[in-house]
Amino acid sequence: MNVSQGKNIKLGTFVITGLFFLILMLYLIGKNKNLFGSSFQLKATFENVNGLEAGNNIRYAGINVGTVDRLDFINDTIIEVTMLMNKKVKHIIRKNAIASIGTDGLVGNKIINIVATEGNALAAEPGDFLKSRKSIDTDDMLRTLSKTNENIKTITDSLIYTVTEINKSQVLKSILNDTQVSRNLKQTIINAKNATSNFNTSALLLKNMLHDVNEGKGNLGLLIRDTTAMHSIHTAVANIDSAGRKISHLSQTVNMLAENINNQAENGNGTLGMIMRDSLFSNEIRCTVQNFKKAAKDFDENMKALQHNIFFRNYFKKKEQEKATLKINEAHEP
Amino acid sequence: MKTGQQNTIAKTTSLLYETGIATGFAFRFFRQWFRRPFEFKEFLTQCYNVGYTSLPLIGLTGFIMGLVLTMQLRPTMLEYGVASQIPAIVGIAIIREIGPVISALIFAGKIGSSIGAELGSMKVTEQIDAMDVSGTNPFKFLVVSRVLACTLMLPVLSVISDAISLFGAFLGINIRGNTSFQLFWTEVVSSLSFNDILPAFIKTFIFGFAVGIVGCYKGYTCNKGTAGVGRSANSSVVVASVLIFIIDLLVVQVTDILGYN
Repeated sequence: MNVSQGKNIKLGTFVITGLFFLILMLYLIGKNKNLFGSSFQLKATFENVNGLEAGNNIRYAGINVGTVDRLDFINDTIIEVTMLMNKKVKHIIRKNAIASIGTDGLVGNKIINIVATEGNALAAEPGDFLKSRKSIDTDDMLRTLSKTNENIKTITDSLIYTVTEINKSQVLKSILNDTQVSRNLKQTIINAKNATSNFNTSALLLKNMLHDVNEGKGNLGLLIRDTTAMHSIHTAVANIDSAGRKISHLSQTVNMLAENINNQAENGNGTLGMIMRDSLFSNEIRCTVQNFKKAAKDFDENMKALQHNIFFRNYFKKKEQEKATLKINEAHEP
Repeated sequence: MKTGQQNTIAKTTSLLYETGIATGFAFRFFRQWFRRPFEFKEFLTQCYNVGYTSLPLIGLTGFIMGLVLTMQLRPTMLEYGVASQIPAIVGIAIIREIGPVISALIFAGKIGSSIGAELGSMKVTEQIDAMDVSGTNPFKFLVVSRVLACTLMLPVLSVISDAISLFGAFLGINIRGNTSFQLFWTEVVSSLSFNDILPAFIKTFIFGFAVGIVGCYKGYTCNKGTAGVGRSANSSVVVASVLIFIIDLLVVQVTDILGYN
């Protein structure tokens, strides 16, 4: 190998190295811009693209999946953005995905964010239009901020006025200067403190009570926790219910009876009606009752006379002795 | 004795005259370029001398530029909380401007002066006249081969210098920070577009042509003995350096007008 050949080899190496770096850089940039490899187009329309340019990145779930190919005016208010998407994500991006224009970082380039939405949809086909969402514009944010500032200014002005009025108020000054007020306030605080203490005690008692109830202690606890008591209550309630039904039935029967009696009384039918309606019959009954009374009185006298009769005297004495013995026995029993 | 106004007029006239001669020299280059015989061997020799031998110097310069630029940029970027943007910013700066311009300036310093001195000494020692007498076209042999070599080798040097500069920038980031090479490279590539690379690459051809044609012109038109050789070498570097900045300005304006910025 002579000197000239060596120089040529070095020169060739030098030139190829330079071309290699150039081609590598062009390839990587081209790959980054989806110029190499297979890709497909998707479209979206926006009212305002906020400075979006051809070549800006498109992200799906934060990953670069394509670049903006071109922007075309459809009419005076709608701009069509054609997106060159990597074919690897063709099966991932759905027809119902939403495209919005955002910023890469706080001060970065504009990008298109594609986000998936809920619900089933087919995979996006080349040339499909994705729904677009209006992005939050910095101008809108500043406009809102300006409005907020105005509101804050209004609130501050009102606050200043209120504080000034309070400072001017003689009533407040007199309250602040009155030592009695402070004493009352102090006493109020002490009372509040006591009330709080009492409340704490009450709360503690209530807590214990609730604890007992929870444990099944006491009548309320028994009522809540004892299942047998609950069963008894159920039975009692059922019995009450049954009794109520029977009373109701009885009441109906009594009612019917009363109605019958009333009917009989009004019509004069039957014994009761005759008694109630026929005044003669009632007089006869009254006389009969008087006769019964008289007969009973006479019978009583006859019986008294019989006790003094010689034939029955012993019998009655024996009966009185038995009664007296029975009383003594009852008195001795505990 | 000439007055100031007469001096100014004389200098302006001289400048215009020299510009006219240089323009004619450049047109002569384009005319001779396509004419046979082609001095291919001399062209390759000049490519070696101009390109390969300049690589260590330009590579070292590029490496230091990338390293220093990153280290200088890092504190300010950290202050603004955008340290993660350093690879993107450094990448764009090196590829678009610093790489081509620094390479061209170093190239003008090394090769422009070399060509100016070489052709100047050949001129004053009447070697060019001898070549002419012997039937060799001195312009084609000396000028066309050198200018072509400069035009084609500076872009190659610039690309390699860019790569070395980016490597220097990567080291500069990792002196204080911690960024993986993959992340650095991804950040650089994602921030670049063809609009960054192609205009920068194309202007290096123009830079190379400017360095070559100025060096050859200054050497080829050298006179006044050995002092003229030194002057032609010196003015080759100065004029070529100024031309590089002027061309850079024009190229940026043109790419801006064309919408490639």
